[in-house]
Amino acid sequence: MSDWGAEDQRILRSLRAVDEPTEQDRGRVAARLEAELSISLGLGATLVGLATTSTSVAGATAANVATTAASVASAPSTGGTLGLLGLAKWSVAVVAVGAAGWVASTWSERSVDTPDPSSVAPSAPRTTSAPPLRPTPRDARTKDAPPELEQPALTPPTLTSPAPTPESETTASRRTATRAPTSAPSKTFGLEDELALIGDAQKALAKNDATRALTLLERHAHDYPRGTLQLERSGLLAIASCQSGRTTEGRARATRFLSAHANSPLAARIRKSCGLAE
Amino acid sequence: MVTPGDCLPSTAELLPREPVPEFAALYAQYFPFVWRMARRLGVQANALDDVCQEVFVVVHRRLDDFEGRSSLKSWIFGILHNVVLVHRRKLRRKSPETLDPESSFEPDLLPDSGYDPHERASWAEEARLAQSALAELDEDKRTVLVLVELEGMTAPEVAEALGVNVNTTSARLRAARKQFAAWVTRYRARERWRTP
Repeated sequence: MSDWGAEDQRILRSLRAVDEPTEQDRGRVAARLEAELSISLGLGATLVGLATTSTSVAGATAANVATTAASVASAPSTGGTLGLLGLAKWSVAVVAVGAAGWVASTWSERSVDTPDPSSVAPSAPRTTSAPPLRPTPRDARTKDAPPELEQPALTPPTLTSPAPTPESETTASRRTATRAPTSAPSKTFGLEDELALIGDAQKALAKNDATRALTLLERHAHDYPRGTLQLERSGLLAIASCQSGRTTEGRARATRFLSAHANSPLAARIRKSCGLAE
Repeated sequence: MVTPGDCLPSTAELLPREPVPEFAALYAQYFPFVWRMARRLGVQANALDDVCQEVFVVVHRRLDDFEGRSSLKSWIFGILHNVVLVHRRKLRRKSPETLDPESSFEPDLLPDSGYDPHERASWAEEARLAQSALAELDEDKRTVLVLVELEGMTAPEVAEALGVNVNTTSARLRAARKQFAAWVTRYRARERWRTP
């Protein structure tokens, strides 16, 4: 019978590097969290703060900053708290690399080349209907025991997940990391502006000011036709149209959105706003 | 029956209290862990963003509840585990054939820097071998083995995260190691037979 040995351990540990996220993965999820939670993880603010100077950061310098910061950001999680400084450095790295066209090409590709995710993409994990899972008894758990998901609490994100990412797209994004810089779109560093517009539209909707929401969303469509948050825009446009009384237009938008993104976290809100059945 | 509560107090006593970082710092520190473990729990690439986002949404909402009685890592993994289970349930409803944890390994994800071709080929081969061996394990064993061997968690931490008894966790770990090693041995034997 085989016993656990050094070779087995080495083989298993060969997987350590396989599942490591890229800086793009980290930045993408951070941006989504900032949008959903209306918080700053340092990314948005840093992007804005450095956007004006980033163009002066040339390739080699950018790469150096990125390398330094990446090493900070990838410090072993058991090595202590990374701290805001580390996050800030990492953010600088993202911007710096972005200046070299890395982030630029990836983000623009994500927007431009996004295939219809409905055919392949599973949905966001949040759901409005699934009962809480109880894989193990937790009645006696302490307060710090991992909390179970309480579905109702998961549903009200003001700004919910962007497009589910199709497999090929994700892979493509990763591959892009090693790709030579292409043309950097002028709106690369507009994520903060995108967030502000979509966030304001969301707030307007919450105040039943659908007209203002429509204005903001149309401005977003004009300024960022292929923006990172275009999926949010599409969903919110459907809601805003229906809320503002433009029911026919709103329902058409809702139907289009739901046919492509039936499992979007926005789907339930859209159906409700536009009076569509499940 | 032993409930999680039976083992948690003693487990908690073993763990030093750690300060709870701000959410931003926590994200910086634990995002790679969450991402890796989501992958290792079989979340496909097209859903990773959603799953990781959801985990941190829950972490953000519950952070004030965290009192340092368990390790942050195990607390966060517990959240991830639940999020992944919900995600799977959704997938299963939608299309059962997409639920294939064994297909979660993607050669495309192998990083390709820092290795010469031979070294890389050898390493990639070992990674594939490891993935295949892991796929042979049932999920309980696989999860414990990965958390301990790849993430450096202790058995009490894993027990805490999964809400199971420490003894159960240790037994799963022993069984997982044994099964993994046996699979590797069989694989090596087959290889020798094929290429005398």
